Amino acid sequence: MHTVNISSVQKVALLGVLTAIGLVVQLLPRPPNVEFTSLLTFVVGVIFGTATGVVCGGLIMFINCFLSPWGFAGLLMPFQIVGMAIAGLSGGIYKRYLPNPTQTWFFVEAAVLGAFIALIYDFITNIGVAFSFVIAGAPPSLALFSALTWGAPFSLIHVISNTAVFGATFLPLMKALHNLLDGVGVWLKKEQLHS
Amino acid sequence: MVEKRTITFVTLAILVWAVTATGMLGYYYMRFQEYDSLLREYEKVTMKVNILIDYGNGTKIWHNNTLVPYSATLLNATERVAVVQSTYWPQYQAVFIDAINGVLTTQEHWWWWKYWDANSNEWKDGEVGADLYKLKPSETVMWLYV
Repeated sequence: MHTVNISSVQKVALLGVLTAIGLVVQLLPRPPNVEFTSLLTFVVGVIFGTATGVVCGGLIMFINCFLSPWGFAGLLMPFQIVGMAIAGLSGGIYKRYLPNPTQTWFFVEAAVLGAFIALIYDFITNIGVAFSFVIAGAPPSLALFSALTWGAPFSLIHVISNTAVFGATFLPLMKALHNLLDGVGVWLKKEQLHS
Repeated sequence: MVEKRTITFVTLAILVWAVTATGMLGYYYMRFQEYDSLLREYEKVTMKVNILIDYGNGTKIWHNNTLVPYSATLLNATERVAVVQSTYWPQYQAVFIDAINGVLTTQEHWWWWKYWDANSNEWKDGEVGADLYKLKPSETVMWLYV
């Protein structure tokens, strides 16, 4: 693996741009449970590492909780933050196991990861919903069952859309960012791209 | 030899499918419970009737156990299972059927209705307009294109 030569200025600028894009896309009106934030957070995790990915995802969701067109998230806020932070964390972990991105299989791999991240995010936020049911007086097991089952169709939409978003855009996005950074090999082995 | 990486991602995909499918199963179970209890509530104010639509060309479509409110008329019930065009005739104070599912009444052919008489085990002609005939629970009626 090549050492990272990206300057801290480049790093901060790119992180700022990606966070801003993530935030704007997250706040724009869109179909429920179709989102691009987890992709961007995941990408930040891949490029800048686990800690930055976690902070970026958490920060986007923190701001989103106040400005979302769906209204203030309230009790769900910490769960949404944790859920999206896990997307960044996943990116950081995945960075260590990045395959040769020229293979077709990589698209499938990215799609599976997108689905998995959506599933984890939905599970965590559904726990948040269950928590609000418990506060309202429901037994914890019933609250969790209700939250998970009533949330299942939304989760299905999220999983399918994330599968498509990750599968179709992760690799082109990473290549574009790689070109932007003038091929400093932040996330890829250089010899694989410039052999 | 299958790579470890491949196995990992296939496992991950199966896990996502299994969890999502289980969630959807739970969702449909909850929906079923909800609708089942709703149906029980409605059973107190509804009844089931059987409606046959005979197009006169050999095509006969049964709509068994059609759920209709108590005191529903034949017209109401038919409108639940078919697209009905009708006209109210003030001089007869009744509705006449112009078409059922696009099959129009003409000078030679028209829609006629009958009900099944369980006592005599035969179809008997309807004697009033479809909007005036109030159905009884489990009754069987027929629309016949003659």
